[in-house]
Amino acid sequence: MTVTDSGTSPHLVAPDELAPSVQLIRRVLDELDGILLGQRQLNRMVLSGVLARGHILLEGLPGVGKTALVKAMGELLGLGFARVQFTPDLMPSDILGSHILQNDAQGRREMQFEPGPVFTNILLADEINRASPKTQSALLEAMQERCVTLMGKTRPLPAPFFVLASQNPIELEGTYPLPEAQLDRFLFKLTVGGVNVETLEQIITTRRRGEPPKPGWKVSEQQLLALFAAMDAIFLPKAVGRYISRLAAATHPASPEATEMVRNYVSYGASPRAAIAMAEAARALALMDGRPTVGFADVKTVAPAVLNHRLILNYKAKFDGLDAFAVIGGILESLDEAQVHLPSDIAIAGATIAREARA
Amino acid sequence: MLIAAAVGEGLWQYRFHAFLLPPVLGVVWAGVALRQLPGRGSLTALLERTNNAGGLIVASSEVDISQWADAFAAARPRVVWRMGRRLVGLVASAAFMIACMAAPPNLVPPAGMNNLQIDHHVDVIEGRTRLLEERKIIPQRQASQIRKELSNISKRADAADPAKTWESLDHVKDQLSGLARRWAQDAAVAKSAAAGALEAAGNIALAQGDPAATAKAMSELSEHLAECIAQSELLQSDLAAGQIADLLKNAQLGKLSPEQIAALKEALACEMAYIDERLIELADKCMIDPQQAAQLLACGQCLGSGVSSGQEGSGGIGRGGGPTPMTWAGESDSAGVEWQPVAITPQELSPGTSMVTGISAGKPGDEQPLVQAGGSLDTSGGAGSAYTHQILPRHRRAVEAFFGPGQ
Repeated sequence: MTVTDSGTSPHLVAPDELAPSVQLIRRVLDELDGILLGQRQLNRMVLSGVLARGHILLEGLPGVGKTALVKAMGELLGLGFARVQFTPDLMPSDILGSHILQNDAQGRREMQFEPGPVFTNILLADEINRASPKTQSALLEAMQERCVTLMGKTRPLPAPFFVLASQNPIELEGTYPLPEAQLDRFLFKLTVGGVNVETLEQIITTRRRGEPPKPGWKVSEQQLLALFAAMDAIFLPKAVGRYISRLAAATHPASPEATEMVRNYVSYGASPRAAIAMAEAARALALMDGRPTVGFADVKTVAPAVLNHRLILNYKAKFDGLDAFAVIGGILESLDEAQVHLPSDIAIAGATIAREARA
Repeated sequence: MLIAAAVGEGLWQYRFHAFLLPPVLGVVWAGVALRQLPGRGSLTALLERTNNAGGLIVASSEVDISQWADAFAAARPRVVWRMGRRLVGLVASAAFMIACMAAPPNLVPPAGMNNLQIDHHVDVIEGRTRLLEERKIIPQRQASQIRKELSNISKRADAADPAKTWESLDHVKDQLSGLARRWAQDAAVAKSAAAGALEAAGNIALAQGDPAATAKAMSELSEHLAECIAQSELLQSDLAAGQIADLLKNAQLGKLSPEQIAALKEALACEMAYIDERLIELADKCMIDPQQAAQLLACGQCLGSGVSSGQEGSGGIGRGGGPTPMTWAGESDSAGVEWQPVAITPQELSPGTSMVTGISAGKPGDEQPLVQAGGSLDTSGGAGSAYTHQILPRHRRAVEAFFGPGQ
């Protein structure tokens, strides 16, 4: 287990210590792949987000399986699950809860707190951008501090607590775009795409009315805690940490490592919270891959999902039809992990050999 | 200094320095290359990226990865230098340097590094010599001698003692300029003689029917022609040859037909043009003073103009043409000079009903353009002949006083 805060020297977790967690994760993933067909990559990203204890914003058209995925995740992990359909007239008290006047056992009347749906483990905030900014803001404290303060009293939320929100990229009339501060609190913004013909055929032929099967197994509380403990044992090398920091800094137009595209199209770059999110999500990916250390490839995999909703592009990007993913792709391509600026006539020819060696 | 003392002065000194240069450059290059070497962290990151090792290689410098060694077999990346054109360039450069170093010393100019660059000056003097030779101002033998002298100066030009070379070049330049000046003076005499002969030939034509005047003009023509032929021989021009000599005999006998006089005039004019052309060339090459050239070009022109106008001229440079009777072309018109005052009515003077359309020295209502109060009524007279000018009466006395008797 890696220990850094206690002052002892860090060490890697042993392979046999990591193996049960890896097996458990593979089982969860197999179950998820069986429930939500044709979304292997999405399933892995959502699970990595959960392992990193981050909130996830899912964006996709209606009917692509966003709610099914979240429900399945909640059931598989043995966690409490609540769903709130966000509408313009939804009030903060509808989410957080409210105080009501009730008689106690002695017949005295007092204000009792009635918890809202936020007091659960997994909160599905469906079409979150349809609620008013007031209601959206009610989630800010819950997402960041994992507690709710009402009438001067702070109440902790159940652990673990995740918000898995969804929003529809079309029908933007009557919606309230999430403020930047709230967007920044989401670990990932994942785009849920459609599935191919084969998957559709499989859904139609194997599932009556398209209902996904119930998971026949779920993770126990101890297993879940062991998973989170294994997450903490994943080691982040300094070189990879530096790469994450450079990656986050490169999203700012004023940064010396900013690409031409960033200087031209980005108004504001990613926050330090983005760098922390990348490190945590990369740790989760390493654990899912059965490795005790985070590699550059893990960071590159999670970077688009972590950064895409945190970059604020200017009007020129809209005119030129560029989205955040194109900007992030440019940064990943230009940023050298090793910071070895080789001359143009020097090349590294080891990649092929390495693959052969690994094979 | 020690190296120079050890190998001695001369060619070997430079050769030794040339051999010393590559190692020095090599050491400098190696220093720069060492400074650019990536650090250990960068290299492990490179190895990590190349092997896609999932963070194990970069973590190896911080934690013990021995437990995971079996799960991963790292391969060292191979650094490849894309030589191509650079290698070809290097080989070509080395071959060139070796060839230069191995060249026999007699192929290398021994004092090449001490040569004074005087090629431009030699070219200029060579051009002047060629001009003088082609124009027969100097004989071919003398031109060859000058060229030989220039060649010697070039060979002996030494940067260590440039004054000697510059003095030699100046000497040759002065020599050529002196020759050119002498020729120009001879040419001036020849041109004057030709101009005199031309004037005498004109007088013969004017004295038709007067035997005494004709004989006098013939005699003058003979004298001028004889002088002219003598000078032409000096100048190596074509005038002395053939026809002119025959014409001289006829002139001495007083027997020149009008056709012969016309041919003589043409030959003399050609001679003068030939001299002018040569003078201009010499001035262009800076062999004679431009002011002197201008005086020589003007020499004899007054005589020529006097002859052509049929009037007796006083000759000489800048002394004007022959006296011409001063005539006044009638009375000058008073229009634009004098006008009667016209009373302006109060209505016309009223600022409310009148406006300024212009300011004129002329009579109000006269639409003539503004006339300046100068000496000439013709404001465009500057470009015309003197005969077209009308001098205002008030200036006539001054004009007569200036151009009056004695001119």
